[in-house]
Amino acid sequence: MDSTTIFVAVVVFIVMSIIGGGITIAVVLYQFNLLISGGALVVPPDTGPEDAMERIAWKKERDDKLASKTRLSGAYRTGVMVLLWLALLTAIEFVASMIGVSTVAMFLIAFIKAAIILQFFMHVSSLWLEGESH
Amino acid sequence: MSTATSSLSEYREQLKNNRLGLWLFFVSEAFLFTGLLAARFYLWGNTRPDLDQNLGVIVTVILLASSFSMNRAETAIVHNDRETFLNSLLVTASLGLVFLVGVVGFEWQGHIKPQDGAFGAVLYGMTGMHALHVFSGIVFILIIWNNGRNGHYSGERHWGVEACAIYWHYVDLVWVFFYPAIYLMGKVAH
Repeated sequence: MDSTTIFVAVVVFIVMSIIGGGITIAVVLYQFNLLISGGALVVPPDTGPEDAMERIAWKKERDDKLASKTRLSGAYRTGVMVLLWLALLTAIEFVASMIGVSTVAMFLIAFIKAAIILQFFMHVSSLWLEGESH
Repeated sequence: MSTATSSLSEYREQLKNNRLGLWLFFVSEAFLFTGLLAARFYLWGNTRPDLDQNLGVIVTVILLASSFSMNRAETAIVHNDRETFLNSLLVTASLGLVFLVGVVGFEWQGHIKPQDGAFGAVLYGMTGMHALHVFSGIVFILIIWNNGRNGHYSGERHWGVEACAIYWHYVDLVWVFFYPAIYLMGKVAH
């Protein structure tokens, strides 16, 4: 094995370790969070008000809050995924330059990164929407 | 139609025009940055100066991370999560500042100076113009943070935040092309 192959293998190993480690920590934290706040032992179930009308309003408010929370965590998750993809592509770009990949290929990677940023961070498609918030 | 609904629909119409205006501004900026990229390929060809690769990749990762925290700030205000919004803005501004220190404080203190022919001229032209945009982005973020602290934005009305976020991501987008052009493409000239 020549030094370039060893270098590439080491870089790939480090990148995979970082991603793998990050996912492991995220899973552990998520389970820990479930254990603390999601378990019925810690938080007693809230049955809401006794009155029927008040109960309907309470249920609607609770469902709206839950839907909003789900949307928010979904949006945060998308941000994390975009960051991971951009980091991975940057690592590939770095390694590609070490092994002497052509300028065209380097530009191709840059264009993929740019497309990801344009779509997920800059919301370019909102230009065609009717004044909606993204 | 109630006054509030009418006002909201007017705001949305205005939002559409604002977005178009901002993107037209980006198109005009794209000519500037593309010109700098063209100068790099014309003057450097298939070579590049011997720069600190570690520094290059570190500042790139920092800028990407700042884009992530900016996205988090924008998402937070859309969902009326004010605390995350304000904290994420501060994180973004701090990361932007670290990027500036990396480029101006370290890269510019290297062995290449502006007067060192084509390498110096292009390197300082590209990084300088980009750093200027990063600096103005940080000022923009701090203004938005101050407005946000005073309760100027809500889930329905946050054009200022949206514009600031898109501007910041644009600065990141430019670096996506500048980083490989400066640090990675071509052979190192000795």
